[in-house]
Amino acid sequence: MKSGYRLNDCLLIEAKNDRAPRVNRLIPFFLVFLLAVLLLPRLSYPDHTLADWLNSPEVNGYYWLAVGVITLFFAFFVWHKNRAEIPLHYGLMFLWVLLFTFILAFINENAFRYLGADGVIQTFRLPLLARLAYEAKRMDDLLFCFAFLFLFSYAKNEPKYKNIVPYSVLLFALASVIYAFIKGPDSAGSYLVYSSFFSGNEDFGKVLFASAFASALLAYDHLGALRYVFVVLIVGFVALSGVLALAITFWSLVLVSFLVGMAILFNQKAENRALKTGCLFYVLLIAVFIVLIAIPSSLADTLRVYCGNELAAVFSERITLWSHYLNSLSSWRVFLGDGALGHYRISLAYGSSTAFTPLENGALEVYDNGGLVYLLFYFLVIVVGVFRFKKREEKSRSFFAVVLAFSCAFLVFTIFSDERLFFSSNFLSLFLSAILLCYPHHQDPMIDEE
Amino acid sequence: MSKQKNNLFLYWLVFFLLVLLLQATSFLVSLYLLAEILRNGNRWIAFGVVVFVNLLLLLAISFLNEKMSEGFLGSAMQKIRISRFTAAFLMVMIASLLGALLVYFIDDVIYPSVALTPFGPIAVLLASLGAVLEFAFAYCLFQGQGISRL
Repeated sequence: MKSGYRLNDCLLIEAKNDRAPRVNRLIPFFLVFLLAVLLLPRLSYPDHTLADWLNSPEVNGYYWLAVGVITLFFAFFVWHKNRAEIPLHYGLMFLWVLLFTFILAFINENAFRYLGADGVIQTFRLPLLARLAYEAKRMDDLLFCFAFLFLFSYAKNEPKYKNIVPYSVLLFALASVIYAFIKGPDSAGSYLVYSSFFSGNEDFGKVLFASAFASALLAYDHLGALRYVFVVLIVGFVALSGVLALAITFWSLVLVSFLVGMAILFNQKAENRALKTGCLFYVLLIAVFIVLIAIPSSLADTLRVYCGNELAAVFSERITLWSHYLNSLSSWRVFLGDGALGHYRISLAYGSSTAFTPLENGALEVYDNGGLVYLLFYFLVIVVGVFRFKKREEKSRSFFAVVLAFSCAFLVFTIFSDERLFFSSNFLSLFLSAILLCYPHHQDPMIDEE
Repeated sequence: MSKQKNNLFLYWLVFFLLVLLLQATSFLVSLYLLAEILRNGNRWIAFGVVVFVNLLLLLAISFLNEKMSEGFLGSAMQKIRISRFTAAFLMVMIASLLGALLVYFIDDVIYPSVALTPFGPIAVLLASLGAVLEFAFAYCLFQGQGISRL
């Protein structure tokens, strides 16, 4: 009875695949291209001029705009080939947000009066290029969000080449890890920093986080010995993030594995005793590790160098930054965000420099973009995205639980990084959104297992 | 007759949406003023007025919602209720724009006062929570009451 049901399911998938346009098979390749393009400005180049130019606030926005336009063209192509009907209500919601963004471009301030170093009140005017670049990035994120929710999700009906995204991320991460050990730690800084190919260790951490997620997907998708290889890789990436002093990644991955372990432990349908015992052992190991790092001792000091110092340093540095940003808000800016000027206001008011200061917090970046409306919009989009995913994966709750655990850990990750929640044009956000909404139904290998 | 009924529905709908919009705006503004009071204690009159208006509007909404959920108006509202998700979101969006305008008048035009203590963090927190609550409230309200509830 059970195998008959699965055969029907298989036939249904086959029938769907016959109808699906071939362009849907290109989506994973396009996503790999996007991931590569998003990583380009983050790499460390021998000649710093290129990296500096790509990351300058004036150029950076146009770079994202170009990426956004390419995405829009591809998304339009996918929509045209699928003859897709976008749900009218959500389509309208995007239209309203676009209109709101357009209004905000005129409302946000462009000048700021501040007390200069010489004690004289000075006026800072935002350069036009910086304003346009900021608007470009703001628009770009909306385009990505729309494309992921409604257009790229057609890849779900086309399992062919589906693993190209996780495999690409995994191979790049392995190469990064090998290079990190060859290169060794960076000499500057108050804590241990391994940056590998990247200009900072934060991006390296993001790639390791994504690769652990990719390994989890591939472990779920493969059978036999290969599955165990990927399971070992997941544990390996957790350990490597600790050894390479990537504390934010390490604790995010520990949170994921803890959540998955607890989900398996309390799943009454899971009857595999060996798996449950393994999970119990792993959860206890995490508890012991936390106790060891918390109680002062020479061992705790050593562990903190690898798993705590970066987190403590980053947190103390960024909490000051967030406090400065939020303290500078008042009046109508509380409702609508501060726009591009918000990034300059902090450095002008507290450092008397005219440098662009990134907020280094996903939620704050979203808030600065569009205030309460943008926060609510992203909150609703995440809820809608998760429910859409749950509906698609209702026959495999364990797969849903794994993806949900990684998504929760990613939201923790966004607190300490510039990743803007979900569906944005940042590397990790894009990878998670791609898996959440575009990764095809994994049921085929399970059918083979039968 | 049908045209007259349609006109009647249109008037009631505009009135209902206007009241709802004002309520959402006053709710967001009252939370902002509360944050300012908690840090600086300087907006008691404005806060009192806004909260009083908000309570009056809530009372009006409870009567209006009952009226818009029965008879001809109730059945005509079904078309709006289908788009309740977008409608609730749009409501919060316009309310935040109106709230920003109102706060600008209170803080920068009518009674500008130098806030001694920064109140941004608590204001952002309260206003964000208020926006989520207002969305949930508007969504539930657009579902209607009784037999016309979706």
